[in-house]
Amino acid sequence: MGAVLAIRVSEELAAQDLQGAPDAALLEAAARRDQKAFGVLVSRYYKDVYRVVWRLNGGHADTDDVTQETFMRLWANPGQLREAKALKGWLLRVASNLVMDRYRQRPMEEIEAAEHVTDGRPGADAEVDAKYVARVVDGAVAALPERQKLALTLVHFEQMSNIAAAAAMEVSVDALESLLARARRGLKEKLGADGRHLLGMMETGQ
Amino acid sequence: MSDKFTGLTDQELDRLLAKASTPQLHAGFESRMAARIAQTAANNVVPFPQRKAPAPSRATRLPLAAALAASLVLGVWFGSSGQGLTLFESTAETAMLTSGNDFAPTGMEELGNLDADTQS
Repeated sequence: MGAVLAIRVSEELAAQDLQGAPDAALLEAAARRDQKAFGVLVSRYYKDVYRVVWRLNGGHADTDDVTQETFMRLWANPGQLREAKALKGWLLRVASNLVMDRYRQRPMEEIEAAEHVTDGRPGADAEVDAKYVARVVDGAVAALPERQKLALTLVHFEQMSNIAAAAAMEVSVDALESLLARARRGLKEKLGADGRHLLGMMETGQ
Repeated sequence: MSDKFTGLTDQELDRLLAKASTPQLHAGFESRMAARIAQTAANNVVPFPQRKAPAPSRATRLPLAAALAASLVLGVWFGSSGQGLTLFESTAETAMLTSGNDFAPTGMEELGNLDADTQS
């Protein structure tokens, strides 16, 4: 009984140690096929990867699959990372490459326009308007060229610094800023005609 | 910075981007991932293929047993009757006769001479 208790306590301590362990230690453990250590890495970064994949593939249903595949690439060879501190950037880069590879073979479906249907509830119109605005903006982002979309996603939606985003994309900071500028210009052109109208809908909905 | 083509300013674009959808993460991703990892780890253990000798069928077993039994009976019979030796001798003689001169032993005369020399 005492021995069992001691083992449980030591396991809980080990689990706590894993939760607080730096990426480098977890990667080393994962390289020794430690599934628990790898699980901590997954829980630490899967939301970031999922959001970026979702944004890049326009909210496609296979976001979950691509996110899993990204971590499977890491699990296959955790020692391939030269620097553990670059793990998040590496994961996002692999994920974005997977998305691009998938949709190069199979063109992305166009995001459908939201239907303008009211259900009579108070505030329902505003809710539909908000969804409509979101759909139009999502569609404009989804239509951007892949590299511009990735740059915008990392910096604008993921709030990464230009330096971190450039490192994740393996480009210079100047190149990243150029991609960002082109992405914003492209969005303005795409949304230009309806942009003011959308802003008006947002104001009346508030 | 204003855009001369669309009229949208950076601030207006940022306000619109702020209205973009946010992904809803499906519950249970971590457990699905853990299951996939465990499955992969299990699949990586590849058992060394063991080559099994094909089990003899009934059709092959009976003739084999009969042939072994027959050879045993013949061996015992030849051994006990002494006919085995005569059979071998006659077979050897026949072979020498039928092969003619090609099979004639050579060097026998030299051997005889050598024998005579050593004796003298």
